[in-house]
Amino acid sequence: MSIQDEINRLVQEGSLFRLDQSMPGLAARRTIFASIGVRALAIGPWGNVEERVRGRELQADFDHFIDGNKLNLRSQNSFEETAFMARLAPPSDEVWEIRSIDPKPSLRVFGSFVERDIFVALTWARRKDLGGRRDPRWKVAISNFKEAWERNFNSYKPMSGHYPNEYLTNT
Amino acid sequence: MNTSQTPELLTEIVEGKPIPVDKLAYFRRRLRLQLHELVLRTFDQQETLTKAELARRIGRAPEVVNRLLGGPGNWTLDTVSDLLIGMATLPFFDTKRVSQLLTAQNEQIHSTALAALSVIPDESRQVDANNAPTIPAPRGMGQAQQGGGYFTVRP
Repeated sequence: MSIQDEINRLVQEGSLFRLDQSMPGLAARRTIFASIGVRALAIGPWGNVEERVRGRELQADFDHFIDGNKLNLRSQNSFEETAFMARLAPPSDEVWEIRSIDPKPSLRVFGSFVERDIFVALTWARRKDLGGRRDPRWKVAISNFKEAWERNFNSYKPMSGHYPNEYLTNT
Repeated sequence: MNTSQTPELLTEIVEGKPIPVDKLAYFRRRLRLQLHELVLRTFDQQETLTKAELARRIGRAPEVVNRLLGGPGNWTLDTVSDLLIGMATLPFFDTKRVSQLLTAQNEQIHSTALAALSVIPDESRQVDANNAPTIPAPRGMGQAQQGGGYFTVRP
């Protein structure tokens, strides 16, 4: 068994979804596997118009990733607010976020890489619910992600490599 | 047109119906991200231009240019124009018909459609449908790393 086998198993049992490129005619150069919760956030079903609009905007962010477009990653040890993705501290946890910044409410989708350009997104949070950089709610969010990872992948660890080129092409 | 294979996102667009607000939001976001990628790519192609020099050229503070290049959150059309002109690149764009895009999809010429998405004809991206496409990669990137895009700009 490998982590790829685990992903295949989770996809087959319906607890993990490969997100397809929404637009026709574009090659998928990266892959996102999403949990039921992350998929519902971006793809629906949504409860109201506001959720529907915000979900579509997140879907656009995911498609931008899947397209293989050039991504702006937050430099390590910086707090750049506008980056598309960032690896969270401590780096050894290998917890990343896709930062769907605008419009409000700003969203954070937490995930890890299993291979270069293959991202598994399991949990999410509204940025306003996480507080400032040192707010303990960040640790809770990261801890929740790590628990979700262990629930899904048992002893398999996320990939670890040289930041950022071993994680992503075209950064 | 046969719309049986029309992606859900394009249904109302193809059928000429009112486009739901969430789908309008999707394409606004895609446009913003694509323009940001275009500006980043253009900046990477500059031989010697620094962010500080770009800021000087367009009359902005260096930290503002740094933030603008970081993400497209508060960009306006004027921002795009200023950044590209600051890099000596003309911000002239063209568009692509959805019907052409779907036709390409229905013909299942996936890679041909990718090349066709560069909306201003670019000889380096022309594809012979009978042969495997050749899409030159930008400097420093392999072909597989090149992103699909909606826009090209005239240098």
